Amino acid sequence: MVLGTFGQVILGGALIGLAFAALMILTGRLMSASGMLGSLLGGREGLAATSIAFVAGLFISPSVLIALGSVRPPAVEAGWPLLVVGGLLVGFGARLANAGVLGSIYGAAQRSRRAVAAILAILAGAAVSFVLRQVLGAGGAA
Amino acid sequence: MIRLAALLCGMMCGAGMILSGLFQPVLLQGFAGPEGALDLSAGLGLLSALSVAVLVFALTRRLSRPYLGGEMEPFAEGPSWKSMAGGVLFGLGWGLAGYFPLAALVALGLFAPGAAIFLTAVLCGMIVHDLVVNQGGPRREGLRSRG
Repeated sequence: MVLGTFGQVILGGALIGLAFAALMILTGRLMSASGMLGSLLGGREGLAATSIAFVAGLFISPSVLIALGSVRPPAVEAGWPLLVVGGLLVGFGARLANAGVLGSIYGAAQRSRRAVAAILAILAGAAVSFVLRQVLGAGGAA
Repeated sequence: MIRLAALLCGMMCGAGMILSGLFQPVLLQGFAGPEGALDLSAGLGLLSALSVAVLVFALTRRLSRPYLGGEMEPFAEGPSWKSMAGGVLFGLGWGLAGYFPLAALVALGLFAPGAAIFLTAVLCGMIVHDLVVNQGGPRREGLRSRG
């Protein structure tokens, strides 16, 4: 089992939700790695600084947790061809839709129809890729 | 101050991702495992995240501006062909690679080599989009991160 125990999953999820709310209430930013990486490539003035800070926080969080206790390492990753192809698709799609996983989920919570549509589109794409991987014999290790 | 807040929020989100295991590249496979066994804990974690955020927003509904200045990033309205097509591509890539950007950033903090490959490809994909869709020029305005 790579996910945590029942309690860990609930608590971890709550932390994610709290971080999302705090980020929006304090800084006005949407918690969205896709959007933040995008704003590093050029966007409205003033978004880059908070983006860099948030991304840096994500990056150092494992190190802090390792210092405090145990952290499960990432489970088996996909092979590099899948990572490259998948990454290119994610980057292109995120920029085209201005949407990613978490941002869309929270957008849906705010009753944005566009976000609901984006979630459905993402799930449809994920389902296709799932079938694709079965057909290709689960290419890569993951 | 606003950057410190963003940094701390990033750390909190990363901690939640690690504690719940939601950053794991097998997340999608967990939803629909090879043996057909549905693992509902991933959905449970997302549900927990969603309810806390909705609760906090309900308590601060009157707030029109962020405490530390600036403006609230708006949620875009109305589905468009762009959001649908982009969403399908995003989901396709997520399913193939196993990561989505936020998860990969956390995994990068654990020095997972695949996360570095994935994130490099994501940035390349974004640049390709700008080159193709915006005919070479980087997007100047209206960039609203929504993912």
